[in-house]
Amino acid sequence: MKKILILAEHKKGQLKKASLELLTAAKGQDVKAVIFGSDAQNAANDLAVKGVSVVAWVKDAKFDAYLPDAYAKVIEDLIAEHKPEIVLGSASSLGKDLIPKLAARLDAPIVTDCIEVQLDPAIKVRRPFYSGKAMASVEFLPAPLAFISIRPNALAAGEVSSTKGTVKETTSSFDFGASPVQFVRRTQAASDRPDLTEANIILSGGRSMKTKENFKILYDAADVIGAAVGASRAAVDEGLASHDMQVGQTGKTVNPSLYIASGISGAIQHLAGMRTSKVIVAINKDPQAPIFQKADYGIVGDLFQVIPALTEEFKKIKAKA
Amino acid sequence: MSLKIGVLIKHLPDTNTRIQLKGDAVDEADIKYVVNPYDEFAIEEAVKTKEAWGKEGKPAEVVGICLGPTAAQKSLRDAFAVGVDRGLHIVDNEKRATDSASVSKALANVCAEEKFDLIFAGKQAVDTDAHAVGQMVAERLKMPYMAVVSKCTWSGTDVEVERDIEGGVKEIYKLKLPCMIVANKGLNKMRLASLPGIRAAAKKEIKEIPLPADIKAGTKTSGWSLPAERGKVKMIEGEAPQQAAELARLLHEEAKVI
Repeated sequence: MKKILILAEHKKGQLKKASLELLTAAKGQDVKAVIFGSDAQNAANDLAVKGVSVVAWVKDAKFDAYLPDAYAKVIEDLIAEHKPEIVLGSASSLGKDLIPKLAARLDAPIVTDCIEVQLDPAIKVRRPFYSGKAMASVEFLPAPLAFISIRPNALAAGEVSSTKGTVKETTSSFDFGASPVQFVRRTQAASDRPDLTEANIILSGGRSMKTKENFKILYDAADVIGAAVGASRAAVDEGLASHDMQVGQTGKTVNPSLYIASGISGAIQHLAGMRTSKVIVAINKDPQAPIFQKADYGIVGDLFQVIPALTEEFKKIKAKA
Repeated sequence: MSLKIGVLIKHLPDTNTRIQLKGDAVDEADIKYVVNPYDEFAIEEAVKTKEAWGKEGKPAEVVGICLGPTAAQKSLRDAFAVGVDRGLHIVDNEKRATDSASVSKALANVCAEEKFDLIFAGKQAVDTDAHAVGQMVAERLKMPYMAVVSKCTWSGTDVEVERDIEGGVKEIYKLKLPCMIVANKGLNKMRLASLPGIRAAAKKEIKEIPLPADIKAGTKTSGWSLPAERGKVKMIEGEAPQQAAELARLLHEEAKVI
């Protein structure tokens, strides 16, 4: 049995699915967790009934906004107290930043964005390289402490242990006033739609969408089925969509159950970012578009006719459900 | 005294590359290597910052730092062509620095000696996609940083940055020199190299630094595989309304994803 410390996350008090996936990966081990946020009480309680023996809840509202050094200090202290052998986090915005920072602080090995993990007895993970154009296994050489981040959606949020643990309020003496980095503010989310990297269904548009306004037909369809909207690099580079919507090797790597590519030809760097999607649909005017070779279902046709028609069909299915 | 700006540069396969395996490794034979696309944003921002400071009467030099085999010097030359002044090449022909911990340690050692006022890096290298080395170098240098930055606004030696997080949300932070900024796409668009720039690049200095003997990876990578190919695509015929109806039915009843 290994001693594990989990960096858990929540959204408006609710434990994130990606954090449940960490618990699944750590099932059967000696698990402690840390969670930040004055509004994280429900998530902290949830962790304590899902196999975490001690949940360190950083309730102090000073820690609500992310500040790398402040968060690192809290976790560094927890590591000194609990002496975990592995620190696990999600490859989320927070985990991608903090897990490597901590690994450097404690001079420990780290592997990020894993899609399979074995923690005991040896630590071995599997992860994509070249945005998923290849995969490989990575073995940790023996070390007192190892850092791992796990890609959201890669492991099923399956069974977790149900032992009862305790929630312990935690804080740190970090001096916010003396910090050379100061948090100023956070902008509002553009929408309530799911984030691309966590979405179960994604509709993406390419250059053939022609204008930014035309993306509305994708949003209309997405809203019916609870999907996120993405875009190809070509669409982003021409200003039809924002950078945070880009799927592909220089954008986001996504892993949904359903990916609908409309008006996307299927450049190799786009395919790299979405090829692990469970089901891929391609809609394109050009029957020769390479995307059809990577798709499960294909429609040769005008997306401006097919997508609105598809939206109506989705409404019918949802009405019956 | 002039200010010193460092920029971390990785030499890696172009995103158009089709990855193939040879034995239990990536076949490097037909790969075209380029500057990591995220490092292009870092390079451009470094050069832009130097130019802006120059206009304010604050001279600066931009130093590119690259770890890799001898061939990686090409990426330093490409950076020279758009305005980087000189290069430091940590030579690793034996591929000893193969993980984020070892690479960040080697880079941080060199950066510590240079005593940079400001360092730029790309948020991730598109070969390993670790998204780790920037923050790790900053941490090893005990240098304040912010990562996944898509906008920098300077006033004197203070900088306000926008960090991109999930769901299109941005977090705004203030930093001051010395600091490190880890670039995301959107920060800028790299200028094209000019002819005089390319000519000048050939003459700029690259200092070779051997990878220290104590740098080694804490992990071992093996068991390479390529993603499984999909079955044959099922094409849906007919006019748009029939195609849409049939696709919705298949997604609902056959694939069970709607």
